[in-house]
Amino acid sequence: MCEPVNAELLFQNLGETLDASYVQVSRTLDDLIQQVQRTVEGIRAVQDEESLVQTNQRAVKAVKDLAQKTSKGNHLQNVSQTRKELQQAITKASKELDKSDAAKIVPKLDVESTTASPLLEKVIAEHLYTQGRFEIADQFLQESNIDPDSVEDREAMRDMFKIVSDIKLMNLDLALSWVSGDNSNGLSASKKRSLHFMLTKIQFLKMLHEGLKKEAIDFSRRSFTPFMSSHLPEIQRLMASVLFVNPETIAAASSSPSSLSPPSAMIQRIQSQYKDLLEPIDWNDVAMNFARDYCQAFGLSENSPLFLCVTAGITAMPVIQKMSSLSKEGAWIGEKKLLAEVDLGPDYQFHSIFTCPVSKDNASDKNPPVLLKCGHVICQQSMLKLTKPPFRRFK
Amino acid sequence: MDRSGRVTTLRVARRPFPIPGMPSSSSSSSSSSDAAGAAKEERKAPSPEELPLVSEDKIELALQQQRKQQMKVLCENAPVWEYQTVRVPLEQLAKVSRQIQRQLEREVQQQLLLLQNLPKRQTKEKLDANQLASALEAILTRLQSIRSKLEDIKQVEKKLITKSIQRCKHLSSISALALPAEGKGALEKQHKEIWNWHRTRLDRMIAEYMARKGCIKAARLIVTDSNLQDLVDVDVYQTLQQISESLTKQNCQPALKWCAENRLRLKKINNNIEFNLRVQEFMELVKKQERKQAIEYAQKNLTPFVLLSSSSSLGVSSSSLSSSMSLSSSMSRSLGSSVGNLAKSSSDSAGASTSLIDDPEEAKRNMKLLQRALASLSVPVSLIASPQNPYRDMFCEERWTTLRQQFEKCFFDANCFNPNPLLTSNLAFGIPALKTKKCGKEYNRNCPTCQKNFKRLGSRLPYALKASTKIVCRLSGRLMNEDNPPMVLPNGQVYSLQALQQMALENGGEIICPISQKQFPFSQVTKAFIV
Repeated sequence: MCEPVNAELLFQNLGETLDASYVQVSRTLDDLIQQVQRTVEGIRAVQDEESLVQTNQRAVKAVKDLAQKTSKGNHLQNVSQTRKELQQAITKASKELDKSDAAKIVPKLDVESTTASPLLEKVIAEHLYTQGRFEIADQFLQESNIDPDSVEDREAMRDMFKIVSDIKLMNLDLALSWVSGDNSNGLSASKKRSLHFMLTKIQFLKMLHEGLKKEAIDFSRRSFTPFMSSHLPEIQRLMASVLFVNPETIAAASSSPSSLSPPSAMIQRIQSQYKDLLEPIDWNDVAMNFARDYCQAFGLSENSPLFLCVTAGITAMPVIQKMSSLSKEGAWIGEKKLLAEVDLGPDYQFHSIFTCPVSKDNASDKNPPVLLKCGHVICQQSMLKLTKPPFRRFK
Repeated sequence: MDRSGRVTTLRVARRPFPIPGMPSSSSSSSSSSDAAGAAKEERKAPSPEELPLVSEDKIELALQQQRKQQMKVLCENAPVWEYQTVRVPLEQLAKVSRQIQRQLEREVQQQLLLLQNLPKRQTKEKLDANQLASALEAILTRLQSIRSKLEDIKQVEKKLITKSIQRCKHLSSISALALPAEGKGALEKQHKEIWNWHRTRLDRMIAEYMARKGCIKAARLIVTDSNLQDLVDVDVYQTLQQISESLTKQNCQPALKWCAENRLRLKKINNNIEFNLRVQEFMELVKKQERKQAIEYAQKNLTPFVLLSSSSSLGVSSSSLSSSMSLSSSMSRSLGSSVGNLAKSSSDSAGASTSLIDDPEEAKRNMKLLQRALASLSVPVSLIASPQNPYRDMFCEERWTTLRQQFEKCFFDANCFNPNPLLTSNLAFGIPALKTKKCGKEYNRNCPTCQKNFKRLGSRLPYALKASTKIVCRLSGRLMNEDNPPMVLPNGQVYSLQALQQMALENGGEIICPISQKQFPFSQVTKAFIV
């Protein structure tokens, strides 16, 4: 297991070694510079009553001394030595990282097949579309020489993000027109109606929150009628809330409990009945719900499949590694079935699987699960095997 | 009995367990077995009305526990993949450090030499005090400039270390999230943070994949968008892309430049890319019929790869060089002599010519390739393109593709990258874990492996092993377990207890099967025992 904590320590130590080495180098250089400087100053300082010849002689001597001192002194060695130590520290750190388990795990897998290439690019582009990053996806497809239109659901996603970004900006027009139009026919009728109602309700609430009572009432006259049969109780409640939900009460209700003037008894009563309507509208939540229903309408998945696969891979890796440690490295890839079960948790369960407790086989069309009298369920083949000897009954 | 064959439809083995008090519709032939079965069945399954109401909270709690466990696993396993992330900047640091060391040593040594030579210079040129002082001042200025630049140089190395520490911190943040969270909303928050970390990880892997495939602009867009600045080595990939592009355009120069800069590292990983590049350039000259230049090129650039550095033992003797070439045509005789000259001149200057090889084994291997290359000189122009050309493989254009692939592999090796992009490795583990035989047949829009593209990606990967039964209720979408067991309707359809109880409550004790639209009273459902 690559322990990043240890690695962090490694790097911090390296940083310290680096600092120390630079201190050493600068000290060495400073010393050398000082010596040269002194010599220069010595030469330049012309003494009184000194002849030219004497000055020259003195200069020559000073230079000779300097040359001797520097050849004996170990400036170069100092610099080299300290750098060498740094190099050694780096090499040591590299070796330590190479020894860790993480170094052995990932590289050995050779899955890259030439046919996978345009596929994986498209998968990545789809993933980016689900995140709304259209420019990045298009740039990527362009650089990979793939036609953007060959990626399915591109337009659908584009439209969804347009609507979603509008919702986040508190504008429900596009959403309402989508849900009332034909494009939302992928949803079941009841689902479509409840989504439509939810959006209408939010629109209504928005007007109340802004204090536009009259507009809200007009809007409700127009828009709530189709829902009278299905959502009557809720509509009644909403209409009653016109009296009580307005910017003042909202402000009063949202004032913190520790404020100086506690909310009046009236406000408290309103709060108890209409708490959810007084809260500010969570537009992100509305957007998320809309996106979920939109995906259902088009048969798109709610979460990005790429993300699910990748996180599944993280959970699966140690299990598979352990399983494959018994056989040749990487041989498990060519097998038909994994030899170990990977438990991915409840969120990754998409298909129902029935495993016969007797034969440990998976049920299939040819071998369906069969209900016994006692209520237990086994595979049909297991049942047939158990009834082969001419018993009428069996355990 | 439903014959749709779905797992959640059970075929009733005998007939439904006779409900006491209800007229049995059994035929007389199996009545005896019925009686036997009834007698045996003393421990009656409790009637559905007696079963306690499955509480939503209990289910949620169980789910939460499972999720918590899964989240923990996700946190603990994630850092294991990150060898490359942490190792690459270290390798860059090593390289930069070496360069800086060479530079510093060279500069200091230079100035010291000047200092030490000054007395000799003085005697020779009869310098006076002034000139000596000026000379010293020049040295002083130079030393001071080195000293002042020290800080900048230090930053270059320091930056790499800081980058590495940033990465380590980012990675350890996920390990910290594996610890249990206290407090009311803390668990929710923690799960959110875990998902966010994993989303960032996916972004990193996508950026890396894009950069590997040469889509540098897209990679940079993601890096900016998701704030991955210090976490992805896009610059290194860009260097690779530039060299790769030049190799595609059949230009070896940038690649050779890179090899020269990284010779030490290449030696450690034992890769002969440089020699192959040189051979390819030689072949290009041969193709252009520039034979004389080709031979000169070989003499200058190919011989260092076949001669060992120790002058006492030549990896190859000049005689073997020329004798091992079986040249037949008259042209080749003259070539043979020039080849012989080539060998001779190399052996003459054996001590002086630079050798880049230490390993006699490698020298022998290179020799073989060199022989083929030189031999291809003898192929007459007309024969080059024909299928009878025995040195066809030396002339073919595919050599460039192989060369480029070898270079890419070598580049990744030298910089301590994984040979495959992390994304493909990760998917290779993830897809088998999700893949079932049902995917595609029973399309579930949320299942990744049901998607067309994923199906094709994973077509050669193994299926997941499912050793335990997991049934998803078609009414509520929930997993069935001991708290929420499966119940069988008289028509063979199976749904979870909780969903049926809910439906019964809403419809006054009646269950309407959504598949067949048949109505049954709640008392007619029986519990199925699924292990």
